[in-house]
Amino acid sequence: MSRIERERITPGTSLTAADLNARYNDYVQVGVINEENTRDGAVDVPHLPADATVLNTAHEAINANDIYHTAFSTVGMTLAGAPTPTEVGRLNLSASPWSVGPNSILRIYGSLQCKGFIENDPNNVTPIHDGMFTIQNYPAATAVNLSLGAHVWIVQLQWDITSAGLTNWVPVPGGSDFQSQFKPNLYGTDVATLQGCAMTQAYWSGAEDWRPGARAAGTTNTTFRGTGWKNVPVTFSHFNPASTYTLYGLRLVVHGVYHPAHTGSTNGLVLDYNFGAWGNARTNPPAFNYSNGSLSAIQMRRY
Amino acid sequence: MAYAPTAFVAGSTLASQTMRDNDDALRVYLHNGVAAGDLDPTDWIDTRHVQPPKMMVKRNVQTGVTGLAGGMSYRPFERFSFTTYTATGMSRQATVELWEEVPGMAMTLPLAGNATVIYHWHATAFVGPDVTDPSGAATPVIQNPERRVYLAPYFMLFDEDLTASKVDTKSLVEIRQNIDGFRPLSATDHRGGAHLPYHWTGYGQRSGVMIKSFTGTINKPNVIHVGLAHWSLVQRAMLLNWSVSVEVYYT
Repeated sequence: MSRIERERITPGTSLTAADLNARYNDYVQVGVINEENTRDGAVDVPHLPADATVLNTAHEAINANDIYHTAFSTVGMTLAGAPTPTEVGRLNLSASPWSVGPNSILRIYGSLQCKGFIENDPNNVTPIHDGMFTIQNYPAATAVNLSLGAHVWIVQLQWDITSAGLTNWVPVPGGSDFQSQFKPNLYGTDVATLQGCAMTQAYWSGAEDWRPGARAAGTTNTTFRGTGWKNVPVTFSHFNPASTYTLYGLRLVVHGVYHPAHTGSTNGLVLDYNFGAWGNARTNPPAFNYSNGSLSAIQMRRY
Repeated sequence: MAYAPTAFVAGSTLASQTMRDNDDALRVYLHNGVAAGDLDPTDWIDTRHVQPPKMMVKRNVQTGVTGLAGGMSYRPFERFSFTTYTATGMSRQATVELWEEVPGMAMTLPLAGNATVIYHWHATAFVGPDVTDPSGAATPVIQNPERRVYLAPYFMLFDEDLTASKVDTKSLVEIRQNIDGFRPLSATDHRGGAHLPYHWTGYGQRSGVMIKSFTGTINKPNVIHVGLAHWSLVQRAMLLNWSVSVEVYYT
């Protein structure tokens, strides 16, 4: 019954059963009412089916609800070889996995309360390596080693689209697994492959005491500390995938400590095995502390 | 109900009653709604067919067929809002949560049915320093050196009061006063201040997202209130600029 266009009956025209039947049967057509028969603005809330826009939603808390950080967890830094991502929280969908097809938009939001921990001075230590450089001290003309800084922990989003047993975690698309050497003997990745990754600084460094008297007395020092508690937001979206996959779970992992590196044509991040332990016994290597957080996902229709 | 007119037969008498019956049946069919099987089974509803959204100016929210959307923002230096316990007229202890709404960051949403609500927020905060004693002791003592302001989204029914249970502490962020606490006045130079002033670790941009699903548990007029709450352990703290946006999808 796409728009009915039938000649009007005009005076002098013979009335036949066939013509009458055709006029009424115009309204008996099956499966043809379309946009031509519907007025503008006709579709309202009750006309849409359930899940018209949102197909799935899931939320999961990470760790205890410990906003005071009295019972936080700790992830150690990688001291040699490839990084070992440590899970800090997951969103388990394996009981009712999501089918994410070309018509879908997957949106993921995470938040993690965390901080960097460090005990040893990252500056003026040996050996010189990829994250350090040397300057001349003043007034004594001695060489001083300084850390390049910019050391970071990485909070990374992974998913499992292979097994309901959640044993096949891989980085989300566009993210590296950091299991390759970006530079000789230095594991890391190109900065172009950091999708699903968030970073938080590994330490704080600044001037101690801004009091004029303290400065005059020569006690104003450059000092360092672990960072204070803050939150790291992790967001990721996957739009209109080329083929359908089954999403069994999502998780956040942490690994580090990384610092910037350059290969001549590409910027990247590489592990720094010596960070925070130069010239000192590694009694307490730098670490990543985390407390409560959350991981949420929503799957929507694209059209 | 499909339409089934009576057929006319050639050579028979044309009865006006038959035509009237057919017309009446057609009127009923069109007024009561066409049968699902009469619709074109392909996707054919176009944008123009969907009822346009309506803007609710006071709430700064537009409501449409698939849900609601809205947002608010405040630009720097035009306005600011305190996130400090002194502005709420309430004292505080370091171990008792006293959440307060941050003015101008809440939105009231009339839900037409089950829905998923996504609340985004962003703020720039300035916190402290502060040397007062959260314990309320007569003689101020520096305690809790990493004193903080907590920010977290909340949701509740429109006519409810904010309590700790309505705050989504899983989505909270915190902003510290400084590192290593506060140095008291010096006896020699008569100055005091933060021991280790933060640079960009202590204040700056903060943001978060809260996702909530409402599936028939909301009663009354189905009006909910979402916004940002603060619990301050610092006497002087404020938000310099902020913005919020909300997405609601009927499920």
